[in-house]
Amino acid sequence: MKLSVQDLEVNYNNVAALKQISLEVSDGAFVTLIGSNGAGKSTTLRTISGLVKPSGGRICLDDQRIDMLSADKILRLGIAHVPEGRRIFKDLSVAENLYLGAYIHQDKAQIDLDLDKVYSRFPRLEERKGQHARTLSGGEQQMLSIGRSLMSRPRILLLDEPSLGLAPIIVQEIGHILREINQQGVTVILVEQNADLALQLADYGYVLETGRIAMQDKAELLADNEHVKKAYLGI
Amino acid sequence: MILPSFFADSFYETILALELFLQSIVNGTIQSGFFALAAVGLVLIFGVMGVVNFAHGELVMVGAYTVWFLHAQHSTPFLITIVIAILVVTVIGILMEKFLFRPMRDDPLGGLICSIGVLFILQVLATLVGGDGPSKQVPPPFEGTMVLFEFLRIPYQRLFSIAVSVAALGLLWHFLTHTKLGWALRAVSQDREAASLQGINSNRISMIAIAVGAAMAGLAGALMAPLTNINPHMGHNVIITAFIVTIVGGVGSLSGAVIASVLYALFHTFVTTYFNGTVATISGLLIMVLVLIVRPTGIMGHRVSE
Amino acid sequence: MSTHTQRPARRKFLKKAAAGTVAATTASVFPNIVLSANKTLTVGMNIPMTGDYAPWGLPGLYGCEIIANNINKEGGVNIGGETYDIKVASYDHGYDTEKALQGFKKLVLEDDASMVMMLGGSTVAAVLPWATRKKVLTTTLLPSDITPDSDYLVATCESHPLYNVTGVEWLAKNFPDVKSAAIVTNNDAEYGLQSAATYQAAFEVAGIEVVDTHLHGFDVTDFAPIVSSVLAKNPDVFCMATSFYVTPIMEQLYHQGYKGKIISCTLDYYDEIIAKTSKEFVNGTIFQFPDFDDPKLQESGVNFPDPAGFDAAFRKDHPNDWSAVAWEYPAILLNWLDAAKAAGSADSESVATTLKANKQEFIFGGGDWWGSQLWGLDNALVGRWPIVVIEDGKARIQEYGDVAGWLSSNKDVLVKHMKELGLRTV
Repeated sequence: MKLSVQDLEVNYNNVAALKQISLEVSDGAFVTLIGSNGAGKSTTLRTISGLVKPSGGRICLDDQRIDMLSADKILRLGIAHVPEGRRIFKDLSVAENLYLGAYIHQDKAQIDLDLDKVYSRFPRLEERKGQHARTLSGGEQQMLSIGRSLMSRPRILLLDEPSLGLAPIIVQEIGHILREINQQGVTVILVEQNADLALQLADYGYVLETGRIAMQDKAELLADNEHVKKAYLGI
Repeated sequence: MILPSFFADSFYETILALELFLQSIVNGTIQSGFFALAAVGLVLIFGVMGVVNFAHGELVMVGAYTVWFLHAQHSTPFLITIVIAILVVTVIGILMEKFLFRPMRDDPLGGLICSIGVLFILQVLATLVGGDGPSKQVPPPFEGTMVLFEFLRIPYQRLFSIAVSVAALGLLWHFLTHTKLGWALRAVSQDREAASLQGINSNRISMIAIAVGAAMAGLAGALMAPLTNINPHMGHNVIITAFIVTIVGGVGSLSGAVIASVLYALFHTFVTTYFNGTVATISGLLIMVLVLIVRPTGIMGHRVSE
Repeated sequence: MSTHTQRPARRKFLKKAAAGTVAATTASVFPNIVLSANKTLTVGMNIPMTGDYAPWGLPGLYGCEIIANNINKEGGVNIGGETYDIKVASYDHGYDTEKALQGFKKLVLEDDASMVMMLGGSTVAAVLPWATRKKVLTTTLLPSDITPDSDYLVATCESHPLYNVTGVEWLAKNFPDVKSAAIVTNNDAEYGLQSAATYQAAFEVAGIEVVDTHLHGFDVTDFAPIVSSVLAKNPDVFCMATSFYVTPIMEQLYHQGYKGKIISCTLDYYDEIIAKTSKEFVNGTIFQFPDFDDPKLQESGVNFPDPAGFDAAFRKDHPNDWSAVAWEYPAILLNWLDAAKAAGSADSESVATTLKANKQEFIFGGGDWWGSQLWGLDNALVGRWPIVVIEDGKARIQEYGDVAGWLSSNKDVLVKHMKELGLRTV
């Protein structure tokens, strides 16, 4: 499944948030969008997953245009979105959160298999499956948010700042898991302010600045780029 | 044996006081069922759609009118009229969602104002159907009174009402905690956007929420019909009680609404019994204000993060 | 169905419809010419016909229409040598004070009403300054509306709640074992508190101790706690002073196993109460408003033409609408017509003077002008008033009590209780 974004434009109250963004993400790729706060990274993800409607351009999945579809329909096509701030359902139990991730599926047996897979990937979630999600720590909540999105059996996984506010050791753990997920054939599009982590994980990267793509290249080349080093890697 | 007269007197008075106390618990418990049925619908609709449904008391009123019209006027069996009342009110709720609240999705104030419009429309419709004049009365289908320990009195009609209320609340609880649709409903009420990212169609869930909330209101009205004065304005008291219960319980918390219903019903009953009804209503509103100041999230609500 | 067989029926229908339309048009264009050659005398009813107070307005309009039709059918009424047909013009103020004033002006200015009948309370207070200035004779069912400032407001039928004393007197006489009473009423100053004070006074005079006076608001949805709390005082008599909630209170009394005496100001729609409780339970309840098929009303001394015929006509047209006021506004109308005939004019000033100068015949007999001792002006006509008891599921007059007599000996007790409840007295 190939995701292509062409000349995407988004306005919030007549202020342009995205100006002619174009991305090409091939099947199985691990792509990252880096950039400073307000550069348009989150907006790009939110537009792909259908939370925001574009004012121009198009988004295609293989040959199908998806930019006018609602979020729940886009999920059914295989694009899952782990939103910024985790956005788990705090008054529901861990298990209920995960079952809701599989809301679009009806096959009970396969859902239970998927659940087992999530639990084996995140054993701490299994230990806490009966608890209210609000009782989880920040890292556990991020795992729950990722686990929940995996329950929909995505082909493309969009992640918005999964490292935000987490201890470095947990950030490493999450990075490890993302790579694993990608190796199992899921395309990953990662938005991060932690450019260091993002460029380590991804094979291709885009640099967004004030709603435009300022630069794009293989991840290891971007990591070596002087501008990127200075502006985003703090070197 | 001849008891000294002062002892006999105080013994008799103690028994009387105890009887009144126990009867008040019975009275309050029966009240709590109606309060809870009305309040959970308000909470559901507010939680899922973000709209304060001012017409909720009128949905209860329509339920009561349906029973009056079909049972008292046209001799339809009571149990069948309960089902029809639930259906009628549910349909009204669904129409409200589809034609008013959905177009007003991004404008909670607009939704509220629309619901006030519905309030007046339903009152006028009730007047058209029932005519003007005195409050309507529905003869109770279950006659007689159960007497426990020779002094506690529970009319069978009220016993039936409380049993059905508890059963309906139990069903609702099961639906919300044990079914996928129930989880989806709670998910939408907590985070509409995150829910849509799980593939949950929030329009469909809104419709289910208002249908369930309206059905509960219709049931409350149907159960109240044989026990109260039925008139186009009866929804007024219902909505005030529902607001108090919702705020005290914690806006958005269903379990809070049910717990607050029981507490408030007992409180109101006891204050009415030992002081009077006006004091009870005023102190109920004061408690609501107090909760808003001291613990705005209510007894069961959680602080909203973000 | 074939259209062929329908055709003659359809043609017939069209013909009838056409004839009806012509008749209706003629009638509406020339109403008086077609129906009668008499002049028209209009009386106004500025009453609640919608909302909570509708039961104390609308049935009265139905009753007045029956009376007016009967008079017109018999050729009208002769006042000052001229024969008039009676027309009843009505306005629904829904118990709203602003609408009441608007309606009052409309009835007087546009409909040319010679007098206006009202229910009472805040709606009367709202129209009184204008009515007094314009000298429009106005009637109320609440003598507590009477003020020394207006000669034109009279209460000529119901003197709510003075007549309640007769029920208590009768109760004490017939049930000498009764020692204690509890009063329940809504807490408004217009109806509830007036009535509570009157009952308190009546019980005191009758030597019955009032063990509880429970006032409640208009927001009560469940009377279980109120009734439980009052019954815990163990009263021999349960008294409903005036209430929109007699039915649910009676239902609670029934379910909570009350066995004592019940006395109530009104027992409107008592068949519904019986349906909610039982005939045996309601039997013996004492109140103050008769049905008009009552045999005692056919006896002499009652100033109402053919009460039974009126009752039958009313229930034929409006089977479920009979209430306390169904006959009261008609009684006021008849009383006013008598005064107008005597005065030889429908002019408010002359009728008012005639009314006050003559000793009027009250609907149930007797009739003294009273009120200055309580409200500053003798503009309430009080006479005999019936004591009604439910017997075998039917309201039946037991006897007539003497309101004026009670007042003359016990006025001070009444004033004391009115003051205690914060009500206006002179």
